[in-house]
Amino acid sequence: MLVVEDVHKSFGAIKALDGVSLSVEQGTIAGLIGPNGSGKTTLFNIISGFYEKDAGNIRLNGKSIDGLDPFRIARMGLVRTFQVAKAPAKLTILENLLLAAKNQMGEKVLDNFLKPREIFRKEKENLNKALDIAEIIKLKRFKNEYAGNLSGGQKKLLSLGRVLMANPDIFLLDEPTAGVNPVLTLELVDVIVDIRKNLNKTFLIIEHDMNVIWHLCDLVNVLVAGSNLTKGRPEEIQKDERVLEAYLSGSKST
Amino acid sequence: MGVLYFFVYLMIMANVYGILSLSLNFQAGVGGMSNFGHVAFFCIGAYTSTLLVMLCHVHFLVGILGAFIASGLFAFLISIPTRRLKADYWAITTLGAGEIVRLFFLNESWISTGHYSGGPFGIRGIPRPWESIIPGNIYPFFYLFLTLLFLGLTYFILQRLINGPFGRVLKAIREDDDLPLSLGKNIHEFRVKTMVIGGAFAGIAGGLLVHYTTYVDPFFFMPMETFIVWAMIMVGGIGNNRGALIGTLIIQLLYYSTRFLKDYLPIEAQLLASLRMISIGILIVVVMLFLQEGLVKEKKRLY
Repeated sequence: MLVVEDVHKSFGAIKALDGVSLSVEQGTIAGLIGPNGSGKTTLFNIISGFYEKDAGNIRLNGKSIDGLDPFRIARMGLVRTFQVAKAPAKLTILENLLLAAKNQMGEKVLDNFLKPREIFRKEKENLNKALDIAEIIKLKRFKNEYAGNLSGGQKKLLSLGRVLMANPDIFLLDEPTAGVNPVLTLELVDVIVDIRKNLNKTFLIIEHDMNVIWHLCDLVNVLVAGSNLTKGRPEEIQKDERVLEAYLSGSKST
Repeated sequence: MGVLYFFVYLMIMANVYGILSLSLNFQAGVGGMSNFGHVAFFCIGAYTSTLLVMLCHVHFLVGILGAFIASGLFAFLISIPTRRLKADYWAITTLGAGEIVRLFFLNESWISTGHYSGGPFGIRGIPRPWESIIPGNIYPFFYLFLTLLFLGLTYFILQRLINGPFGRVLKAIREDDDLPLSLGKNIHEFRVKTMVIGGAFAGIAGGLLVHYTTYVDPFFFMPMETFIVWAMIMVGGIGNNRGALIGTLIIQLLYYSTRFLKDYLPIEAQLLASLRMISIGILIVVVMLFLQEGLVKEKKRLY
């Protein structure tokens, strides 16, 4: 599904990524962990087209996505979230969700005047879907509230809601549960597991909450200082001395 | 009677500037694009319609259509090379574009309709539409109705775009590029389209203005005109079309009615002209200090 081969990226003298490779199989949930500054988010930015890489190549469903604009990669079925949750402040929760729907006829100028009825029907469909998603992310009672008034954790939930609405083939989630309370985190884990099981979707998830990683992932990739340290099943990674050492020496977070 | 005709004139100007402020609000208020050269489209529309009607002898409505197309094309032309610029750099280029257009018509004096015409002479004798069949004393009322029709059309079209999925994307782009990009929105294309649509409607306003004044010259289109339109949308409420129209009315009232103060106050006309701009300036400062979102807030879309 997603294949990343030998990706390099430097910022000035800092080698953020020094030959990272990984692959994510269709219908699996892959984790991406590593201490702060190990290059996880940089890798996300490169995969989703926001950064240009210095070397390496990336394929999505067998097709190269090197050098494509972010919006083209999104249209090919890869949608990512951001580490610091983004939410247009002057759009309501529902509008934020509706924004994410793909192939919206109403985004074409002339169709607004040539096919108003079809657009109305499509909006209605999307609206129902958005309301269902608002229910899942527990924001339904704020549906008409401006997103700018939400807390940090709620914005994280909204980000997750938006990718659910966008319904891509592969989800790249950057710390989806950071700032979300533990009970809701468990529910979100269930939502992700359900989507994978019922819709055969694919996930690549950056997460510092190891509980989430152990529960969710089929395969965990560990990055340290811009290189692959190891990969394996969660229970293998959990026992790996090198992973523990990298976390303890890199920073005290986890 | 004098008061009535003055009022009609005021409303005609309010309608013309209403089209300008709606189109600027579409770009700047909803799309977050700080266009400081809106007057360029106003100017191109004015000259295009004038030249089409006077030199090609087409009907007024064809002239207006030409103004719509020509200023839309110009918007397309300037938004292609600038579409990836950051907001502040982009704003400066639009300011430059506005001056380029004005100086073009000021200096290219071959764009004329005869002797002592074109360039700084301006163009005189622009025909008023349907003037031969409408009696002079009711003509202002007819033109008021005509401009109101175009204002209504502009309002309807822009409002529909703002309220639908197109406007939703624009409002997202207004705050941040990355999120809409991550959701598959081609933000550069949206920006170009927004410029073209806003520019094209501003062109209509230009045509409507000069077919009433029957005269045009490049000094109609000083950079100050753009900022007056900005004042209208800032006072009325940026991002809200009804606010933009209310702001237009307030600024126009302030602008035109103050000229009668000289009849009542011992002030020289020249001083009064300066005081007029000062009063608009003070109004903006007061609104920005106490009503940041303007008189009418942006409307929340409820479901």
